Amino acid sequence: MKLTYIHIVLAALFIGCGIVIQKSDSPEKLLIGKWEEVACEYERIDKENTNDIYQNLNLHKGEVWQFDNAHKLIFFNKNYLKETLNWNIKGRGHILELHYKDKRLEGYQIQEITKDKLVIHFNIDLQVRGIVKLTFKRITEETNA
Amino acid sequence: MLKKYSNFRTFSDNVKLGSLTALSAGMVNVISVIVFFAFTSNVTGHFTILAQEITKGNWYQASVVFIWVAIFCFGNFASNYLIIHSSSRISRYLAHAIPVILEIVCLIFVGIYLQHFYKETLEETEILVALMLFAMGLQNGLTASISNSMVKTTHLTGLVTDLSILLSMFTKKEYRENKELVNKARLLMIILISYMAGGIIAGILYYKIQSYTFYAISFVLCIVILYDYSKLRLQKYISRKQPLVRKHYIEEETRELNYNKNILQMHRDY
Repeated sequence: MKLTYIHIVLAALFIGCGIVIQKSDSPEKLLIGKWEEVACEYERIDKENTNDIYQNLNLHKGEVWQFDNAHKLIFFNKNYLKETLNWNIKGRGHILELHYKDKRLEGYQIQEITKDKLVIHFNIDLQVRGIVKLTFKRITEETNA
Repeated sequence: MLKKYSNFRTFSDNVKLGSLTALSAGMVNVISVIVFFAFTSNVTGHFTILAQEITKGNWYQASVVFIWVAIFCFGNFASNYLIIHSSSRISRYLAHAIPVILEIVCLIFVGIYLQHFYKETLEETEILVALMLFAMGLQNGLTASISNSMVKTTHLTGLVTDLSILLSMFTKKEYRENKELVNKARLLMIILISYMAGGIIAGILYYKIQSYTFYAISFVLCIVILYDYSKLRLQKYISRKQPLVRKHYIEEETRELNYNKNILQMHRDY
């Protein structure tokens, strides 16, 4: 009898999770749209080494990122088109990969994604004692207007 | 390797099964991290992530991780279900081989899909990770079930704990001289090395041959199936055509059985 209850609970959980996945927006869907970078912070960093460590990194500052359905990402800098590349999401929706045209691959960990806010951490070498945290807010049609 | 189960298995059976399946598990885990950024041969990390996602209120991600864990469990369930419902010698081999066959099918499917159809969408990633977790669940359920939990090849937490305990026991002479404990330590060490080797091989292979690595993993698993199949065919041939060799073979089997009984008795006394 108890076993039947366990089976029912497990089946209900499984079905419930299926419904949640169907009904809610996946990180991939949430990402689509225009995002304005509002902050770029260095967390847990040894400030003396900042320049040495980050001089070779291609960091995006003060840009607008536009993700579209066709997995294309457009960078805007002060309203002019800066660069176009491909993007995709991996894992359970926690890794954002950017594929540059020169075959360079940039990885970000998605820390938070909601309808209005996106927080990503730049994935750098583990030896670097610091995380580059980029915060974005969504640009809606009304904001644009 | 596959046809014997529980206490009828010899040390050699467990070493062969353990080393080959650990090799494949190590390969699967590393390739899944490289391609999908998700572990597929163990679920400890997934439980941690599940708790983390629930805490953050990320219900989509939490649901995905829960389904992954459930699918790994279903793989274990299916494997053991097939084993406990088998009876005769031939069907026992088949029952033990079916989880490996299903595992191969899952891995080949992932390989083919990656090569020809993968568009790197999140949905595809989630489904392919689920398939790989199912495959690993099947393998873990099979090895643990037929070896009386002596062989567990898809994760190393318990294995490292057991090995560390054994190594500390070997600081006493009486345990160092216990053949059963020494064999157990050797088996765990072999599994550990095979898992590591599998990971390294998969890492190197993936950068050379990309998704073809899945066929290499399937080849390793084919050896597991075909080794016993070839032995079964040989036995069948011997029993039909060669009465003298059959006598020798039966004597060898009896000796092996007696050895296992002694080991079991020693284990009980211990």
